[in-house]
Amino acid sequence: MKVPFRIMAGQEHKKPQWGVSYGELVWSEFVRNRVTALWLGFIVLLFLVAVFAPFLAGDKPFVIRIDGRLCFPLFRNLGASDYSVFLAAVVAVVQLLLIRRNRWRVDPSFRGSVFWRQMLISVSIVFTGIILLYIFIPRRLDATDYKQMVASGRATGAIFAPVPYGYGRTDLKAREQPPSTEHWLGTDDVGSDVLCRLIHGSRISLSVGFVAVGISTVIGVFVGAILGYFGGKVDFIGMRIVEIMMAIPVFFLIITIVAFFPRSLLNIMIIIGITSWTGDARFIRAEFFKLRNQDFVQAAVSLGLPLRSILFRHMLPNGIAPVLVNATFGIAGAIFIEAALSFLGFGVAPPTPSWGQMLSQGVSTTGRFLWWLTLFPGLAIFFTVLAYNLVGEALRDAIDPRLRESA
Amino acid sequence: MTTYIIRRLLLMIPTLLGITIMVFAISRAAPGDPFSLSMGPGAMLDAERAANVIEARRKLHGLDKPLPIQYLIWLRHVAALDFGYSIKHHRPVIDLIKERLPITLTLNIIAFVIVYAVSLPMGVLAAVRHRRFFDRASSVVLFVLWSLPVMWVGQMMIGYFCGPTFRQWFPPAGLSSNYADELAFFPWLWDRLWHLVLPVICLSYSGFAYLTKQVRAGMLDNLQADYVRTARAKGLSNWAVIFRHAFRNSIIPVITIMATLLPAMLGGSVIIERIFSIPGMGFLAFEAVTTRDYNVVMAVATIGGVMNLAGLLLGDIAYAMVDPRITFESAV
Repeated sequence: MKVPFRIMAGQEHKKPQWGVSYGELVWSEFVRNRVTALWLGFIVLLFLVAVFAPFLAGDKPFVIRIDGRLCFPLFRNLGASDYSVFLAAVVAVVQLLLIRRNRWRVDPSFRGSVFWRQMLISVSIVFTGIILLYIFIPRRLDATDYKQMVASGRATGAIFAPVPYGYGRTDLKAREQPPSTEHWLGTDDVGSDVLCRLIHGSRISLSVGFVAVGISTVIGVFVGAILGYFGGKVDFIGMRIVEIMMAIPVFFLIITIVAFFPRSLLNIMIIIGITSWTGDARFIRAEFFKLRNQDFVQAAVSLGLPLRSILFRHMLPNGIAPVLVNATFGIAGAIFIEAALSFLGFGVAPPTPSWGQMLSQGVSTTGRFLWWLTLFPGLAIFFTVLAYNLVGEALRDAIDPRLRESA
Repeated sequence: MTTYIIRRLLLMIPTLLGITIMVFAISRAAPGDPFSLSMGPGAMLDAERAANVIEARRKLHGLDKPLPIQYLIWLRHVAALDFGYSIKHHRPVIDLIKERLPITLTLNIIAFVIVYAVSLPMGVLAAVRHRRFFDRASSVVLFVLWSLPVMWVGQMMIGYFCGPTFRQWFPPAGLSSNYADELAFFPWLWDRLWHLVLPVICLSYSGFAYLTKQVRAGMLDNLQADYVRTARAKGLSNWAVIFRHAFRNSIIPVITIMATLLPAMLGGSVIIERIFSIPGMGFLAFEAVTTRDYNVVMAVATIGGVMNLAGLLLGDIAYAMVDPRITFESAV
């Protein structure tokens, strides 16, 4: 079904007489509390750090003059993963701007469908973009020590990032050093700068959080929609499967899978995703049970719309609210699980920085307690998890005013 | 009551089968073949002979049979509690589990009792002091506790309370001191408890938030109900209204939470046992995963699932027993 785009020409600066939509209502309720707005700001800050990580910390200078020639080593050395992050960030910002624009220009009665179509386009752009970037951008290995060049006088005019160390750098002369003016948060057991690894580690945490929750939400919504819509035997059998999934202690299941399958970031995301969809499935199922007999669904059925359209275009937007709240908590949970897995040594391979793995180095192999390697990564995990939990709580209060009354 | 329990047990059977199928499927879907891995360099020279040897060994271990048959064979062994041998410990897996399970259970049960002992009064008090200082302060503190990553807390505790760098108040690892066997009963008990303090704190603190919140929500609902107003109008004391009327009604949903709290704790005990080097099930699972001790991994996952189911069942039975309104015949 094509959705007509009704552009209100010439009315850009005057808000049309549409009243307030549900999303706007929730949003205004959400930002009314200063504390939650602050924590949302913290999450935005984390995102900025993750996106601009190579510009904040790295051992390649932005600009350097070598033998009289200007070079830009930092930009030359950006890899496929960096460009993927930039692409995702740009598309996300465009998507947010589109949502803002829709609020002014698109009639509320089909604003939802416009939004979902735009989301679909954005997600597919990001996916194809990432695949293309990984195919076409070659891996570079630039082992030039630019600081050495500056020190020896061969190069001049170098501008380094605020934290001028690479996250994979090993410097055996600077092992396990406490915080100093040179290394603001100290160094780890191979001499890497902790602050630099923290900055780059935020990428792993955030990407695991979002991708894992994306996977679990898609599975959960799909299963829950089918179970809730059909009911009866389908529901009975499906719920047994959901029960089985719930009966296995999730963390045991995760480390079982980790034991048998090769460790990579993608695998960890998928594993966390496929083990944590049961909550979403149950929420959506309960919502669909309620919605199934309502008039608009019956109307959609009697119009002969395809099942896909009934389930996901007509019913889902009315039952998505608890899933959104659950997703926010899910991100916190996924970040925690990733940190726990890395802490136990089942996470990404060592040169890639991850907060949990840094935390596990807090007690060195010789039994020394390195407080800076425990405190700072732990604080990073803690504040990130806390921020998502708080935002989830505020979102739930904003979506369900009944809960707010009693809270 | 008996029929109810029997019906519940029968309903558990498909779930139990599902868990075993899942564990089996994971182990068989894993890439890599244990025999070709163990063949060594000679296999490169004589490929045909190596293939024959691998084939023979597959036959010997029953891996040439179709997957459903393999599953049934495995299931028959599991039903007889035979999980095979541990590659690392060179002992039957079931012996290891018999040794480790009580430790984890003790730890979890102590933590569990503490969670309930702290959360119930706190939840009640928070509801009674609704929107006053205690309510707000406790909700903030509990929220922070809920978000604290357990591995961080554990390691900070070891670093600051158990190490030579800062304070040396608690033992950093294990269940008892080296000389524990020579101690008399009470010093021995003291030694044991002293070792358990930090792990139990780590296991229990995140449960406080969840349970307290549930108790508080239930109490708030009930304190606003008509029957509480009637009780107050009758002239009952505040204490009697809260504990004899409102509390008894709001405790019912709290019991079912038991079922969800236990598996979370079991998962958490992997991290905690690893941090504090406690030789329990979690540590066994951790070791098995790092050494690819597949039999142990499968056994721990299966037993974890079974224990989880048992917890769910206990929760349901307790629920049915506490709430007189539930009739056993109609409840499924």
